[in-house]
Formats: sequence, structure tokens, C-alpha cells
Amino acid sequence: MKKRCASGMFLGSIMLLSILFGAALFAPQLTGADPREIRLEEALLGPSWQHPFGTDQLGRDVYARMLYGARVSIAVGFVAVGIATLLGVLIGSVSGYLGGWIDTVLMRFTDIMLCFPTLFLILAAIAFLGPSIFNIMAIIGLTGWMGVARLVRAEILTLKEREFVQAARVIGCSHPRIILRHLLPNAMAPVIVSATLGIGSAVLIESALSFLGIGVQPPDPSWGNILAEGKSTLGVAPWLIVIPGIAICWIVLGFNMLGEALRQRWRS
Amino acid sequence: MSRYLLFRLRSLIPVFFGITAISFAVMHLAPGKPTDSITDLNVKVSLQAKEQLIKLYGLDRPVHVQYLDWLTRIVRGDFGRSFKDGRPVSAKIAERIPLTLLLNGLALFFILLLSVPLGVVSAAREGSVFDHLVTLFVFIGFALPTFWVALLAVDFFGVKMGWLPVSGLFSLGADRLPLQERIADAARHLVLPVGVIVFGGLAGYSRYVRSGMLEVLQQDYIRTAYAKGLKRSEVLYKHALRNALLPMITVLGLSVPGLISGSVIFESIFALPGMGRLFYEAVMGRDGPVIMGILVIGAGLTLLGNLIADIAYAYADPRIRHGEPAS
Repeated sequence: MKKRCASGMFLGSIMLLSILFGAALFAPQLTGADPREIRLEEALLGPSWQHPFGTDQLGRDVYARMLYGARVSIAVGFVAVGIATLLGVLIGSVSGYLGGWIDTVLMRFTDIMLCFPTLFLILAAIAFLGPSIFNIMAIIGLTGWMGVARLVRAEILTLKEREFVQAARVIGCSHPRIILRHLLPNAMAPVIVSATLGIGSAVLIESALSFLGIGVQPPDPSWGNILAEGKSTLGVAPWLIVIPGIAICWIVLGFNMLGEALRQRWRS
Repeated sequence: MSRYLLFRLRSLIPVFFGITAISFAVMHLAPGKPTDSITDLNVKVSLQAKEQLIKLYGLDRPVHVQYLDWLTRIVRGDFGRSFKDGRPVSAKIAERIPLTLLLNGLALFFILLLSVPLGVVSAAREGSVFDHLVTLFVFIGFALPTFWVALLAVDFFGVKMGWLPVSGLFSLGADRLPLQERIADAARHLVLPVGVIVFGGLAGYSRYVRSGMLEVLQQDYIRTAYAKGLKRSEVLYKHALRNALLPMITVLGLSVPGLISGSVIFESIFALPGMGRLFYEAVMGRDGPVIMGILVIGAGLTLLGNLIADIAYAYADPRIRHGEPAS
């Protein structure tokens, strides 16, 4: 029963995500329109054959903007989570393996970072550093590593007393080799699950930042800023809000289902 | 109990210093001086005045001296003055924070009121249609951008249907109404924001309750209770629920930073004058002292939340109270 549910969720997430990646990858083939081309005389047209998702207040084709925006949103999610995961694995494994005062200091630092309302920290940092795509990815990553660090540390703590690690130590493996070749491969399952779930939340954070006006900046399309630009014309052009909202929900749902399916598979 | 409390309080001290250090560092990450935002865009400010301003805020001194100076002042409750209007930061925060706390307190109350029964029933009927519906709801709830839900709710309930006010805390001219009607007016203004926060948080909490219940329901004492011939409802709500709710205390404590993060977004959408909106305005105006102050206060609220959760946990669970303090 549980197994069937997990594989159904896995298939579902693969379907959601492959449509999404297909759209991002083949954006130029799927539309002839330029996502940045402004045609004021065609502003705020409803969905039609020529513009499947209508046009925005500057007459840009929303379908094209959504396709190219998928690239931006996916890139933000992956890079931010990549940074967070690398940092988390590094801090967690060093902390768990070395122990002692290094462990105390690193874990205290983790506790401190966890105290901050994340969005506050991100807002403050981006306001001072400027909202370039790179800064946004980096800051979402730099404020999101704490969970992974705790996970990895806990895994390393239970693994490092096991016999195969003692054996590796006895035959003279160096510390980095023991961490990289013996400990981390065995601690990877929960890390991959949390990274998968993290991609969804990174996309949500980017869209929230765009909504507040300091996310990915126009004219580059991201799903967050398409939605944010649509909020001023909510009454006359609801598709500008509804379509990017559904897309964000789609990508987050896809990655969350994938993460959940992986978790259930690896638990048994 | 008092020994445990003392131990917990002592461990907060280094964390508090860490919080101040990071808040300070974020402000000084940026290239240029924090006062540039006042001086650079204003042609009337001469170079001399600019230097005076830098001297006034002590920005010409080494960074560690500035930090220590700032730290000794905030320990005494003095967060400096806002760059924008020169008012004390502590006063600005103090007049904004009650609304944020009220908003999140109300939201938490309703989240618990709804998520506990949802979680309990779906755990008690694991695998049923109801359970699957709750799981589906949880997945969708996690994936929905909360500000999107807020926008749609504003558009539907506020603009299209005209049932509820969509911005601010009071209607125009509400200050002339008698107290009772003013409260009713404010309550009407809070329905949408609180409703949206509750909707956003419901998914997570009902999931925690459900998994907590599932774990407890496998314990031996539950089987014993059934074997004694107790009614199902009695076993569920008296024996299982109380233990399943224990971890929820910790979850509640940990949810403080998330709730405060959300207040930036919700207070912007609904034009509510709370701390989140103050922070947003400060960030946009690069009002350094206010930003640092709110970062410290926000993280301090998290510390306080965790502390209260720990104390409540120790109160509820004698194993913690009488045992050796963990870690």
C-alpha cells in the first residue's frame, strides 16, 4: 500500500518536472515570440491563439515570458540549493567528524543562524548588495544551509563509530579521505531528500522577493516578477496573476513530491 | 526545574552575542558608508556636512570599536536613531511590534484549532479517503506561494464580493466611533490577513500532528488501553493525543522565525503597520539602525519562543524536568 503510493508519487513528480524542464529547455522552439519585445499597442490582451497566455501591460507575450522565466526560476532553485547543500555538507561533516571545540563553535553558529527570520536576513543583504540574479542565488544559498548541516552532522556522528570507518582509519586513510569516500556516501540519502525539497522553497523565496520588488529584475523574466508585475492590473488582467502562480505551485509540487517519494523509498 | 531553567538561560548568552554580531555584519557588508543613503542623493548636503554626519554616527572609527559601542548601547535598550526621521529605533519598533504579535498569535491559535483535529482524524483513519484528502491538501498547501493566495483572496473577498476590507487596520473615520465598534472594525480588517496566514500554516501543522499521532498509536500503552476496553474516542483523545502533542510544543517554538518572515509579506499586501512593514520600509530606505534593530529583535523573539517552548516542554514532560539537561 505504502509502496504503491510512493511509486505513484514518484511517477507524478517525474511527469510534472519533465514537462517543466522540457518547457525551459525548448523555450526557443516552443515560441517564436521574444519575451522582452515591447508592443504597447498590444498591451493586456486576453489569452488567444496568437498569445496563448495573453500579453502583459507592456504588450509582451506572457507565454514566451513564462517559458524563458522557467529557465530563470529553475536556475535560481538549483544554484541556491547547490550552494546551501555544499556549505551544509562541509560544515556538518567537519563538525561531526572532528567533534570537540570545533563542533561546539560550528553548531553554535548554526543555532545562531537559525534564530534569524530568513526573509529578514535575505531582504537586508540583498538591499545592500543589489538584486542581481547572482546575489539572489548566493544569498538564498548562504541562508539555507543550516538544516543540511545538522542532518549531515547527525549522520556522521552515528557512522563514524562503525567498523568500516575504524577499519579505514587502521589502514591509514587520511581524514579527508575517510570523510569523502567512506562517511559522506553513506550519509547522502537524507541530504538528497532535503536538497530536493529545498529547490521548491528556493523558488518560493525568489518569487516572494520578486513580489517585494527586489527579486530578479525586469526585463529578465522570472515567474516571481511576472506575478509581481501583474498585481497592479489584477482587476482587468487576472491571467497575469493566475498563470505564474500555477507555474510556481507546479514546480514546487513537483520537487516536493519527488523529495517525498525518495524519502519513502530510502526509508524502507 | 530551576536548575534546568538556569542552564537554559546561561546557554542563551553566547547566542545573543552571535545574533548581534551577524546583524551588525549584514549592515556593514555593503560597500560605502551606511550614511551614503542620506547624503549621496541629496544635493543640498555639502561634503562637510557629510563628514559631520559620519562623525555623528561614529562611522570614522574602526569597525570593532563601532560594534562594541553599538553592543553596549543595545544591551541597555538603546538601538540608536533612525536615519529617516531621527526618532529612536526602540520607540519605532515598540509601536509596530504589538500588531505583528497580535496577527501571528491569532493565526497560531486558529492554526492549532484546525490542524489538531485534522491531524488526529487523518492519523486515526490512516489510508482512508479523508486521510488521502488531507495529504493532498498538505502537498498543495506547501506548494502555494502564500502571497499569491493573499492576492487572490483580496481580489475575490475584498474587491469582487466586497465582503471584507482589504487594507489597513481601521476604516476611514474609525477614530470617532465608540470603542466597541472600533474593535469590531479592526477585527473585520484582520479577517483576511489572519485567514491567509492560517491557510498557509495549516498544511505544516496538520502534518506534524498526523505523524506524531501515527507514532504514538503504535505504542504498547495504546494497545493496553484498547485491551482494557476503553472507548476509541477516549483512547484517541485522552491517551494518544496528549503524548502526540508534546513534540508540537517544540514545533511551535521553532515556527517563530517563519511567522515573523511571513509578516514582511502579509503586512505589505494588507498595508498593516506592523514590524514586518517597518522592516521593509527600512530596507528600501537603507535605514541602517532600524534594520539592525529589527534583526536583533526578530532573532531575539525566536530565542524567546524557543525558551518558552523548552520551559513548556519541561513542564509538560517530567522526564525532561527531572533528568539531566540534554546536550
